[in-house]
This record gives sequence, C-alpha cells and structure tokens, in this order.
Amino acid sequence: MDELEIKQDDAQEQEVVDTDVPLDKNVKLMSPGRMVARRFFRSKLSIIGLIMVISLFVFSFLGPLVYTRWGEIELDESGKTEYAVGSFTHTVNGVEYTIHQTTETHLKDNFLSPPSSEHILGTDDQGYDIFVRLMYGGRISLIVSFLSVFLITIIGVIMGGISGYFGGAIDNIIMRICDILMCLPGVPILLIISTILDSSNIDAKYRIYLLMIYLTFISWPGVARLVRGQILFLREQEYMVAAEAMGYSTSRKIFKHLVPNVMPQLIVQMSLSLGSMILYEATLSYLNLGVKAPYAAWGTMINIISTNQDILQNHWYVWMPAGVCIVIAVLGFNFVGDGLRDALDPKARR
Amino acid sequence: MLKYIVKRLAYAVLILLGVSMIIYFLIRLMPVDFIQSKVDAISQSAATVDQETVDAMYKMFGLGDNSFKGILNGYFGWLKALARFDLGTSFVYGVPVADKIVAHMGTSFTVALIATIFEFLIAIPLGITAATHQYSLRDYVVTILVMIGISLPSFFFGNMLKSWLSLKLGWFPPSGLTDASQSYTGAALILDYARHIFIPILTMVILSIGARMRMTRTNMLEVMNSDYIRTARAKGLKESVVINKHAFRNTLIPLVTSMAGLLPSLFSGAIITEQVFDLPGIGNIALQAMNRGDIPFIMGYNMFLAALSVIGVILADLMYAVVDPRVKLQ
Amino acid sequence: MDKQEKKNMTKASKGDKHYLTGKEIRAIAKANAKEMKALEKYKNRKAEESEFLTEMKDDGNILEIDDLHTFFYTEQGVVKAVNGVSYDVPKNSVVGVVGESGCGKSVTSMSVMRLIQGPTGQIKSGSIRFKSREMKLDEKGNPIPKAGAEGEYEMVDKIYDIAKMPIREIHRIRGKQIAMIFQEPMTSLNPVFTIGQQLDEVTFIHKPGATKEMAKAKSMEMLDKVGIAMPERVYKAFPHELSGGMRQRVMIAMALAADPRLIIADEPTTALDVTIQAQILDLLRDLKDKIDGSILLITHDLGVIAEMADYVVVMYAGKVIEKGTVREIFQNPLHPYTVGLQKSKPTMNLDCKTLYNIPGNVPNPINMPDYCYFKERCAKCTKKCSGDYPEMVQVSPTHFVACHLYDEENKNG
Repeated sequence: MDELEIKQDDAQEQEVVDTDVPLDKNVKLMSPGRMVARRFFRSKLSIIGLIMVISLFVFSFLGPLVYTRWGEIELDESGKTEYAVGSFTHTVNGVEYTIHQTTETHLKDNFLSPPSSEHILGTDDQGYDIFVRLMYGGRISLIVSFLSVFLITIIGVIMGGISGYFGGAIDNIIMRICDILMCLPGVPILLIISTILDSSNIDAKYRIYLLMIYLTFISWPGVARLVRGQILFLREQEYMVAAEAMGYSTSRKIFKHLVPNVMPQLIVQMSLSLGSMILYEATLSYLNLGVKAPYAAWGTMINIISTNQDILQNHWYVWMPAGVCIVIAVLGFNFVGDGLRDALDPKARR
Repeated sequence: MLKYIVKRLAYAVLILLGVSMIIYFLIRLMPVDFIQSKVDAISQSAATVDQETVDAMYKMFGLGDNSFKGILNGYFGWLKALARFDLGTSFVYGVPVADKIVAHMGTSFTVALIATIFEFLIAIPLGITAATHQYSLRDYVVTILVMIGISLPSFFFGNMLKSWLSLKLGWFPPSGLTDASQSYTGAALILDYARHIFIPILTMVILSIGARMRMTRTNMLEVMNSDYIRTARAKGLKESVVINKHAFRNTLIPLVTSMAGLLPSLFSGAIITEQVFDLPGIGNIALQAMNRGDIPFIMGYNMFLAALSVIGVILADLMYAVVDPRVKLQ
Repeated sequence: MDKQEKKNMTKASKGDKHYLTGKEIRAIAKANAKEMKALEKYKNRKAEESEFLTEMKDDGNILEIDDLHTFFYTEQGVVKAVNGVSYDVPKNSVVGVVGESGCGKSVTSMSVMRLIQGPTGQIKSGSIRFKSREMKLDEKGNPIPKAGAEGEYEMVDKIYDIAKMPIREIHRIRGKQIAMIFQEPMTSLNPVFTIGQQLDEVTFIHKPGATKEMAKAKSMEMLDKVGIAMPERVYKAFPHELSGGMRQRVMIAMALAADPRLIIADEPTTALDVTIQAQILDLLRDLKDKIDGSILLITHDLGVIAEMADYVVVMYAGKVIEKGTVREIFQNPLHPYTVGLQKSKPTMNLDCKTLYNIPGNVPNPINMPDYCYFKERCAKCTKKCSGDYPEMVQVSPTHFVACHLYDEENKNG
C-alpha cells in the first residue's frame, strides 16, 4: 500500500511538470489593499466626494496665495453711493403736487455690493470680500476639524485600547467616564464655555480652538467604545487564541493582530466625523460662539441672516455661498467615508 | 425586572452626579466679578432681576469662596437644591428656571413629536425598499438624497426654506408660533399654529430622515442576508411576507430601541431650528437666556438635558428587552 | 463559453503572473452586468403556467436535474459553481450527494429551491424537472374534496421546470413540495418568533383554510415525530432557548410539516457535535421509512451516505464525476477521485501508517481548464486527459462515470 502511494506521488509530480502552466494560475489574486482601492474608486460617489474634498483644500489653502486682491479683514473702502427714491404729495392752494425726491448718500465702505468683476461674490454687510472670506473660512473649518478628529482618534484609541486590553477595574472606570461624557449636552455647554472665554479675554482667533477642545473631550468615548468593542470581539477569535498559544508578546499581538483589524472601522469613523466636526464648527460660528468678527468662518458668514431679514431675502450672495461650502465639505467627507466603509467591508460581495 | 430597573436608576444617579460635577466645575471657572458684570448688564436692560435673586444665586452655587472647602460646600449646596428640583431663579425671565422650562416644553415637544413621527413614517419604508432593492437605481437615488440630507446644516437649510417658502412665495409665516395681529380661536387657532410650525417641522424631518433611513437600510440588509430569512423563503412564504413579517420584525429591534432613546430628547428642544424660526420652544428660550448670561438658566437647562439623556439610555435598554426575546434584563 | 471569457483567458495565457488589469476588470464588470440583468429580468418575469410545465424523462423519478449551470458573477470573473450537473431522484428513495467543500453540491440544492442569492448568483441554463403533487382544481379554481374522506382533496401530478419558473411562482414548490433542512440550525430559525409560531406558519401557508387549532395540532404532531420529549414546552419556546440538536429537530419538523414530496437535507449534521450528529442521523433514517417522499442528502461524509443512501452522486468542481447505486459506488468505485475519497476515509480494520490524502487542490473556479478538472491531482493520467473534458460513460444500467480511463475501455471492449 505504502509503496503504491509513493509511486503515485512520483507519477503525479511528472505529470505536473509535463503540463503547461494552468491557466488560472496566471492571474494572481488581488491583494487586499488593491481590492480596497479598487472598490473605493469604482464607486462614483467616492470619487465625487474625493474631488469635493480636494478642491476645497486647494480653494482654502492655495486660494489666498493666488487670489490676493483682497484680504480676509480688508474692507473695501472704495465708497458706495446709495439712492433712496421717495415721493410725497403736497397740496398748495387746492392743487395737488407730487414731489419726487431722490436722496443720495455717500458711504465710506462698499458694503452689500452684488457680485462683480471687482468682487467675485460681492461684499458682505461690512464691506469684506465674500469670495476671499470663503477661503479663510475654509481654512478654519478644515484645520479645526482635522485637528479635533485627530485628537479624538488618538485619545479614543488609547483609552479604548487600555480599557479593552486590560479589562477589569480599569475597563470599568474608563467606561463609566465614557457614560458620563456621553450624557453631557453639546451646544448648551459650549454656551457656558463661551461665556467663560468671554470672561478671560481670549483672542477671537483662538476661541474656536478652545471650543473644539471641549468637543474633543466629549467625543472621544465614541471611538474608545468602538476600539474596545473590537478588541473584546477579537480577543475571543480563534486566531488570537492561536497567537497566544504561539507565545507572541503583548505588543506584537496588539500591533500585528489587533490594530490592523480595528483600522478599517477607525478610518471610516474618522472620515465621517470630519464631516460632523465641520458641521459643529459651523454651528458654533453661526451661534456667534466660535470664530467672531472680523475673522471669517463659514458659520459666521451665515450668522448675519439671523438678525437681518433683508439680507436673507434680497442678498443671497452674502450667505448662500458659505452654506454651499459647508454642504460641499460635509457631503465630501461623508461620501468618502461611505465609500471607504463599503470598500473596507470584508463581507461586501460586489 | 424590577431589580434591574432599580439598578439602572442607581446607575443613572451616579452618571448624573458625574455630569453635575463637570457642569459645576465649569461655572466655577468664571471669575466672580465677570458674573457680577453680567448681572448688572441684565438688570439694566430688564427689571426682572433684583438683588434678592442675585444673592440667592450666589448662595445656591456657593460663589465667592474659592477655597477647596468653599467649592465643595458650594457643590453640595447646589446638589441639595437640585434634589428638590430647585434650579434657581432665572435672571432674564424672573421666574424659577424649572417653571420656565416646563412652560415652554410643550411647544418643543409638539414640534419634535410631529417631526419624529413623520421621520419614522418616511424613513422606514424608504430604508426597506433601498435594502430590498440593493444596488438598484432606487437604492442609489435614496442614498444620495439621504447623504445630502445628513450634510445640510440646520441653520442653513432652515433659512433657505424660510427665504423661499415664506419670504419669497409667502405661503407660510416666517417666524413665531401665532399670528399676533389676529385673535383666532378653536380650529382657526390650530390652523394658525400648523401654518407656523410647518416649515420648522419640514426642516427637522428632512434633516433627520437620512440617518434614520440609513440605519433602517443597514439593519435590513444585515437581516436579509441571515439564515432565517432563507428558511422563511424555503418554507414557501411569499417574498412580501418574508420582508414584511420575518425581516421587518427583526429590523424593528434597533429601530424601536432608538425610538425609546429618542423620547426624552423630544422635550429638550431643537436650539437651532427654534432659533431660526423664532419659535417659543425651550431651546430658543434657553439660547436667549444664555446669550444674555443668565447663569441659573444655563445650569438648570444643562442638568435638565443631562437627565433627559440618562433617561433615554435607560428607556432604550428597557425597550430592547421588550422587543428582543433574546435579551433578558438582569 | 462567452466571448468575454475567452478573451480573458487568452490574455492571461500570454503573459506571466499579473493582476487583473483595470481594463479586464471593467470588461468583466460590463459583461457580468449585462448577463445578470438579463437573468434577473427572466427571473422576475410574469409567465403563464404553460411556460414552465414540462414532462419527466422517466416517470419513476420525482426530480430530474438536467445539465444545470449555476454561475456566480463575481468581480474577478464568472465562477461556474455548478457546471452541467445532471442527476435524478427516484420516487421514495434517498439520494446522497458527496464531494469536498466548494464542489457545488449545496449550490445545486439551492438551485432546486431557487434560493441562490441574486443578482450575483444565477441559474444560467439547464432544467430542473420536478413532479409536484397538487390539489386538483375545478373550473373556478377551488379544490375538489375527495369523496368519502373528510378534509382531503383530489390530487393531481404536475411537472414543473423549476429553473424556468418565474421567482414569483416559486412559492408553489417551496415548503409544500420540496422542503429543506439547512446546515446551521443555530441561525436558521427566526430569533424573534416562537417555535410554535414558526411551525404553525407552514401549515397556514400550505393547508387552505387551516385554523389555529389545526395548525397547532399539526405542529405538535411534528414535534412529537422528530422525538422532542416535551413538545408543549418547545412549542412555546424561542429558538435561543433550545440547544443545537433541538433546533435541528425543529427544523426537520418544520420541513415535514407540509408533507413534502422531497426533502433536501443540506449537511444537516455538520454544525452539530458528534453525539448529536448520530441522533439526528438516526432520526433521518427513521423518517426515511415513515414519510411518503424522497430525501436528497448532501454531505461530505461518506459514512453517512453508506448508511442512508440508495443512490450516490459524486461531485467535483461543479460537475458530476460519478453516479450510481450505493453498492456500485462503494464496492466498485471507478473515478480516481471517488477511489481517493474512499481511501481517505479512516477505517478500523485497514492496516496503514498514514491516512491517504488526495494530492493538490481543487482548481480555481474562475477560468476552469477545458480538460478534465481532476487531471492535475490524478495519479492515473493518460495522454488523452489533456484533451477535452471526458463525457459521462455508462458502465452499468445505473452506474455512470466521467473519466477517460473508461472511454477507452468502452471502445476497446
């Protein structure tokens, strides 16, 4: 019996040598990384999202270097002439006269000027160039949201990692802290903090960063829970038991096995929270808590319509562009995040 | 069951303690002379604040004593007041904060409830069709619309609707809850309310529908790929029964759970939407109070919100156990 | 074979190892989308009954699978999971289908139930003829009661081609005519309904005018039949309250509840532990004699087949390579793969040091070679094996094999 098998094996080897290379072996199976990239780029929405995000970056960071006609806080002092037309009737000796009167007012600042070659998107109620302020507003939004998402992720990963890996009392304490932070209201507490910042005379430029630190402070539990959940789940998996049995060191287990498994979800989470952080920043600025005049932020640029209905009704170019910018930014990050989620999902079948 | 609820309540009290500590810490960050200047500013513009109210506030928070013991005493003093549901007296409105909150809760709740009902009524069927027709044109259209909805800032979209539907077309009044120039009664009054809250509700529904729809779609997809759906099909059930009975009943678990979690937050008011349409809801009232430095109101409102979200978590947990037979409360 | 595939293959054979290029991927995606759209449309069409009525080749069979092709249109190419499979299930018999994992045995059975997940998975061609036993209807479409027997109706045989049935008509077959027992009892029951609700449902769908009491009585009877000690308690339980073995019994009860003509048991014991496996097999063997129908038993366990089956079908890489009666397959295996399978089974009384394993792996299901798929793993290859895929050869009235070794024998002898 044994002999026979050996003979068979020999025959087998010869046969393999004889045959051509089997057809299917020519095409290599795709590596996971390539597969993800391909799935990502196959979705039109992801590509649109990526284009939106990249063009906003170019617009905000390179724009002010290229288009230097106006500065962020440079007033257009070319002056403006306003005409008010009125008419009233006056009766003299039983004859009724209608008197037409035009009032000409000369103003120092050229405010609320409609889009023209001088001001691509016109000027706002103060006389700042809207187009240029959109660029600076974009800078603030992008910097602030990237910074806070970066911080949220780092803190979240560390806390979640500690919690999931060590378990026990440490896990309990960290998770209870998460519970507390998750029950803290968002915007209302920011109103208190804003009042505190008012009291301590902080430069208007840096207010928004301090507010975002609070947002980071209440947002990391989301990431921490995600990481902890993943680690707890992975710890139960057979391959982690196998890694344990192989005598791998703790750091190797974490960095070789756990991190790569958490990464996909983390990346998706990050790109989606970029969108929500931009929304948060805009909302704060809209409520006049974040970036304050004269500095530009998208939210601040819309803020004016909450008090001035004339602008809301008649001067769309003052507030619409900023709103559109916010939507593009948030939509872009959401599309990218969604595309990444689909691309990174190992269960995806198409 | 009862034991579980008691345990969860005790746990909720602990969380609230933690939240209150953070909020109290925040107020102690403010210098006292700053607070005094705010109080002065309010008392100049409104006659609602008298020295008695201000003193009561100082006493309630134990302000002025910055030693460790003073802070501790101040915190526990405030906690004691909280335990009696005494949130202090509002500087701006001149009435107890709790009364003011209760008085304006109704408006916020009505608007939010109607919006939430519409949200679920529209989002769930959309989510289900998107999931059962995955990768179809319908799925893509719904997904894109949803994404746009998620990405719209409420203050921008609300103002857009306002400028279009009420300022340009004049179909709806732009702000407020009632028409002050008319004195409607009965059905006419309700109609007037309805006209005023139409755009705010429309805004809220469009903005919230996306997340809910996506949640439904994701859950439905997961359920549709499970083995028991295959079993249901193998039994000979028609596809409509498979979807509407077997799959939907499972998709309902996270939906109902989230609905329960949402319930308390209906009372908290939508700050931005109410501000845009100048509705006298709790969110708008709070925003105005806070803009003018009404410290008792800010503190009271924040604790109110924290309590609501804790209740929401508990309700969601309980609901989970009701709809999912696999979950046992212990 | 599609033009597209040919193009891919020629491209592949020219170069060295390479990833699919973007161009190839787009070409595959485009061809797939076209194909899937057409097949989905065919699946979702409305059709008159006459379109999918057909005739049996042999009246003694209740199921005839004829040249069935079920493909999965993946982004790397078309996976021919079932590639020209034919076998019959005679009346009141047990047919066992064996093969290693991924050989297409489950996909075949899923095709019979039309449970292949679209749009990627599609029945490309072939026919599945099934003799369905239905109530005779009068002109108004009402069932005709049988004279003398209360609650029974006149029955009539109808032969459907399941592969051509529109998906909306498939509920005529599922559950009532063909029932299925799945591999995973742990996840195959709906977690939010009680066992009773799920069992009763079968009666409600398939017995016209069934009342709640009737359904419950039937469900209890079934639970009793599958050897559940406390049917009343299980009836009220939720799936998560039962053990794996119990759940599989419930699944079997559910399959039996509508008195189907054919029960497909798709690896019913794989997910269970060994002692429970034995119990479930005993139960199935027991039922085999009790029910008026056939069983199609899918497994990779030759022992189970030897014990239970009357006929055996051996599948390899999406094709049937040998089929015959259980005696023929076990006493006179012809195909080298069947021989290998039997050798790789541990036995007590054979004296050998190592357990035999069949060398090599199943070929990649995309771009299958056009010669015998087993060639690279086969110890008995001849020159002819590099030629076309071998035809099915009849060795005895019931024994068929697809191997070039036996072509020659036939020609010579």
